[in-house]
Amino acid sequence: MNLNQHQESVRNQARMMTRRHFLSRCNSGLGTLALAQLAGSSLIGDERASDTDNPLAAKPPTIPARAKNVIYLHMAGSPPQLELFDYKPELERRNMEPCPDELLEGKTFAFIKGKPKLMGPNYKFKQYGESGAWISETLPHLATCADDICFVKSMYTEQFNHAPAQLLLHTGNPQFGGASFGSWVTYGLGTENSNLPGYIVMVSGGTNPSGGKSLWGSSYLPSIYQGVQCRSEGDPVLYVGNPKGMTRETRRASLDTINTLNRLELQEYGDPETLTRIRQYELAYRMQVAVPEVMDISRESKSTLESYGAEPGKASFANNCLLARRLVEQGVRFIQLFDWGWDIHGTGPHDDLQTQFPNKCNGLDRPATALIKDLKQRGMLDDTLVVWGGEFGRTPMNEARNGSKYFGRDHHPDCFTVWMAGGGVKVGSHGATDDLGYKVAEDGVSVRDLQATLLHMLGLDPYKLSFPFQGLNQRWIGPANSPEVRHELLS
Amino acid sequence: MVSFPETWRFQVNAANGRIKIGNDLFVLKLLTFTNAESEHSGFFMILRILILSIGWLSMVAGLGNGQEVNFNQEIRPILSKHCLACHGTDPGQRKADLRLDRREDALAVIEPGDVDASDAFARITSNDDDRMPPAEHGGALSIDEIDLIRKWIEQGAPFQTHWSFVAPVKAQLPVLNEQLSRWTRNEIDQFVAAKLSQLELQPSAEAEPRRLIRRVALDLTGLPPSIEMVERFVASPTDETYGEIVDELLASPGYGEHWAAMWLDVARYADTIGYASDTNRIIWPWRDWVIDAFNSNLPYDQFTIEQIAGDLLPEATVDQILATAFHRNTLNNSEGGTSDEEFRTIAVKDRISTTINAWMGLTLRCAECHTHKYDPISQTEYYQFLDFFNQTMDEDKNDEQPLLDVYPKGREDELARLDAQIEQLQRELAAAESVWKSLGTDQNGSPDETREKIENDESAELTAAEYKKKTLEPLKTKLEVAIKNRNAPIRVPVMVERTSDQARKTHVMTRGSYLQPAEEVKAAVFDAFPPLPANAERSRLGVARWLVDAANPLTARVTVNRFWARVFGRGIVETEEDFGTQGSPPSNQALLDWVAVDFRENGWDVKRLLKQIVTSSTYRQTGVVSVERVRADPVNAFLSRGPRFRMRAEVIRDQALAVSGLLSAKQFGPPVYPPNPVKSVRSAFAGDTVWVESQGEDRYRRAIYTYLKRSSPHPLFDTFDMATREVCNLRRVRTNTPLQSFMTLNDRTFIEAAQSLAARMLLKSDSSTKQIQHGLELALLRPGSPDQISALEQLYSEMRQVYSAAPEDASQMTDAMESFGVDEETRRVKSVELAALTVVANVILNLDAFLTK
Repeated sequence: MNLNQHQESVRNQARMMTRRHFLSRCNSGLGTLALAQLAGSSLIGDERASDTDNPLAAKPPTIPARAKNVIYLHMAGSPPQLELFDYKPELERRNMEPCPDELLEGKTFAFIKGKPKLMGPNYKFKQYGESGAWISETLPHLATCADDICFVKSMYTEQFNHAPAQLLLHTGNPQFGGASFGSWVTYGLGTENSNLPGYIVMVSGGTNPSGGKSLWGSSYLPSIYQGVQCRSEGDPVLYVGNPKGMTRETRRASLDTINTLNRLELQEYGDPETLTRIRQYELAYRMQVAVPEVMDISRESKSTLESYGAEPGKASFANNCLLARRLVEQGVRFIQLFDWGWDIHGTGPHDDLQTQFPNKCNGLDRPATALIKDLKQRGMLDDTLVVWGGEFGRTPMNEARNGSKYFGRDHHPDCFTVWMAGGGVKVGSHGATDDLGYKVAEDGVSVRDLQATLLHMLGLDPYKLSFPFQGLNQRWIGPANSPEVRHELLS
Repeated sequence: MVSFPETWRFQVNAANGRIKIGNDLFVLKLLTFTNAESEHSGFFMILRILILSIGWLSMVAGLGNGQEVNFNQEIRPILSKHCLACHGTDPGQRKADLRLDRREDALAVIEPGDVDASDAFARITSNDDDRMPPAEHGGALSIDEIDLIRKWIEQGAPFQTHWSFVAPVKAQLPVLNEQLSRWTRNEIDQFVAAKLSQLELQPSAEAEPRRLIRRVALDLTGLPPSIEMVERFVASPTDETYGEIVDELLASPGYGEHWAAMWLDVARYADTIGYASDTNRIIWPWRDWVIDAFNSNLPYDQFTIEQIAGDLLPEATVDQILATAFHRNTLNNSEGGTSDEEFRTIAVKDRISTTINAWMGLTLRCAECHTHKYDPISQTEYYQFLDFFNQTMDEDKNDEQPLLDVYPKGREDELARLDAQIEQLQRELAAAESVWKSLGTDQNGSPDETREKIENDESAELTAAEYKKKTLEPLKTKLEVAIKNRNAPIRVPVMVERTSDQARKTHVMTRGSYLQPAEEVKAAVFDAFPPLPANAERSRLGVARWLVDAANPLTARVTVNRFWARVFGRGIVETEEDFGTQGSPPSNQALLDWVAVDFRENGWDVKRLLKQIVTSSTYRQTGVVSVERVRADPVNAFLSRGPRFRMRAEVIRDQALAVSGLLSAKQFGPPVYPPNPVKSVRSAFAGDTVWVESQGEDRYRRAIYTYLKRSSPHPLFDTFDMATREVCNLRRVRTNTPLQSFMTLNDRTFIEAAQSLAARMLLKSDSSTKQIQHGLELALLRPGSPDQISALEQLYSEMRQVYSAAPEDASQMTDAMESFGVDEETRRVKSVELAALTVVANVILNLDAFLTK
């Protein structure tokens, strides 16, 4: 059966599956009815639908997979690649020289006006590991993982404002209305642990990313595939806690009564949807235990907490990295982290290269390193794809907005660095920018190429993973077939 | 030797069991292939015998069996799915210079009446590399599809215009047998019955009266009916009583609020501007305009014209200009460093997409970058159409200009507060003036050296002049400001046309990029549809008139289908958002067309349309699902039973508040802030938005009045399937998830509703049985069954034990009771009973029967 047919059938999966479930358990006499007659031909012979009760049930990949799970670390605002991984001695040499005219011709920047100056890297670089990866002094811990990482230095995008660039990266469409990476993956692969959401989102840095909740929305995909935001304050998942004055035993008794009455309704009305509702209430009851348990990092050893720099009860990127590992361990398919504060323009100490940037690097370095090492030590790194990056790059020129004395860089879509670890990536550096770090010079990887490659690694054919909506088979990689799976990034 | 193609083998396998009689010639042809094959597995032998027998059967039944292939229903979907991406309307994507979307072009590869001479047929049945469509385009056609193409070519390969591009006409009412005739109440039923009879289905019995009245009230107003209304119908279950009740519901203020909520999805309404900063936008007076429009039953054509181009109407009223805020619901990007022109362009594109999607059910977005592959809209036409909407003054500015000054209703509370403040200031001022005068000084305020002690202010010894400066004048200023605020208008973004000498030039944008303008274009509508009506203005106003012109084949169909889908849970065209060639075909076109034409001919009267629907026998059927019906019609596409499904987000909440007696009847005005566990949201570049919970009645307003922040809507909405309000959305995809259960079980609003319902139960009677009966009846509008009541009584007695042992829990479980009509004394004395009843009420508010209409 081809994948498109399957997906067309999944379109009504929520409804369809209720019918099947109904048949298998219903005690009103309908259960004997042959499944095939009810469900229509579309689901018959769908060997991929292993547990048809549940649209989030794990499904095997459609092509050979390298990774099973994803942890995506998005640095909202976009970190300066020239201070982190893309070392440019020539730029260093020409520090504070006027930017050559040919680089400015016909270009529009978000903030830079007039004739900006080139600015060399503000931090020292060294090579690490057998691969000889260049990493700056801002990330000393991560440097020890150099040989676990695939650095893609030749990324480029089409967008140079935050929200459209984030939307393009995560939803495949610079405007609102696309479905996010995690929703595509859970739609394609389901999830392993039915007591937890399959797609979890956590935000640190105190601010939501510019693209807002749409970055983890499901858009035209059924909303069951949207990201569930876990929070560090209040209920970890909204409403997971019983109201004050209601114990878990009381909840059990009340759910039993709801189910009893719903079964009476089912006998009278025979609506398969009623049976699904009974099931969803039971699932909710199990989630009430599973979610707080998995979100409680105080269960981790002291040394683990220390390695991440995590502190129970605080909202931090470190805590979120540790939670990401716990969630993957529990069979959650997709974990999306957003960390705010990387928009290093240099308009003041809150967004410059001397104050804010090293703070952000400190907050990133240990947790990200611990995540890779922890996954590796537990034998989970092979199955788990860790992706790190922003939504675009930053200019090799100092922004100097309104004559600012602070150093910073403007938005730059033409080149940036993304790195990946685990999940069968090829360790080492890929691609290169020109001597000034202004444009891609070798082996450019577009955002859409990256998307095609990521889906491919997860065992989903990026060209075939689609959902019919508004007259088009919508895909994460967009309507054109030009995005390429970049096999050179895979081991 | 001819080898058996791998794909066919698979498809034969897949087609097993659904090969129909009528696969005659092709099946025989296939047999030739199979016979020639050297490897004979047992499976294929059996298959061959099966196919052979079917082939023979159909040979006996008569070659070709005379059935005419319907191009629109059977052939177009095949072409659309397999061929048109490369051989369609888009010259940029066209391969081999071949078009298959028009007959005159397709005849290059099709010989009408002669399959063997048709290259196209040879290519789709080829086993070689030249097989069409190629593997990367999804591979071979299925057996059924090939067979249809064969028959179609044999029948002369006639083309038809896509069904929805041909204006609807009222078909003759079908003739029914006597039994079905008796069942029908109106024309809807006649078309439905004819379809059911074709499919050998029977309509279901009429719904039980109490359930029917509950359903019709929820459908028309989003609120449960009053018990009185239910009892009235039970006492006299006649069509006349039913009709009266329907009229009452249509006339109730809740009607407009319910249907406006639907329209807000279409209009991508929100109280913020979107994008990264997502700051506040005051546009709620437009939301109230929509509520009024539904309640006053503004004809849908007028509703259309005013929203699209009310500003261009001669002598437009303030309300008509306010209506155009419809298209100012587009996002505004105030992030620093963004190009206003870029985001203005995106907003204009969104306006034309929304217009064509909402009124004509077509999707335009493909044509932004290239000529539409499936529907007949070229890229040039896209920008010609855009030119109509490219002439407004708004430019993605942070101040959202142009704005319209309005003095909307719904601000009574706010104005009363300001009035009180003014009065207070006036009193203070009068007092201050008398103090000043008492200083006995020069009224002109010239310096006076005498200092006097001022009453109540021991330290201040002021001259009259100083007093005037420090006290009197600031008070005067404060009062002036307060009066100014009190009388200030609300300023709402609206559409304002640029003057003709400032008209923008519109260009085709290469690959959709505003930075790459190509040739200039002038405003025009799409060639595939009728032209602008005679005398229509060449402006947005003309477009609006064109949308609702009798010649427009889509608007009436799309509109009635949308109302139909809200009531029945599924449109006659399931893809409400796509009536184009890729959309799903209508399940009953004669029905859709009849209702659409009837709607238009009767003045686009929405209340009349809804009444027609809900008074039909089709609607009044029971929602009971039987084996046969589910087997014959799993999704109830053909309407052999009544609608039964979980209600939309707004209704889920409003109903809980209504039955617990909490729902506020207050209408209109600024948005409100019901309880929300997300206390604050920090947006990029805009700082915190703190959710300050409304108190009193504003806590319990209908959901349509809840503040809607685009980037962070209240969890009610995204938990219950509302798509984001960033783009036009015509259909919420219904889901059933554990997160929904969390909300109705644990959300503060639902807990307060449970407490309030428990209070009503307690105050009804001293008997727990009667209390429980009362609770069930309030919620479900029918008496509970003995089984239901005994299950709830058992829970109640368990809970009494639990809470007797845990008085602190009991007190928490009843924490808001005093706001719900339970006095302090009762709450204290009966806290265990109240807590137990709250748990029972929480159960009632979570029943499938309650969440479902």
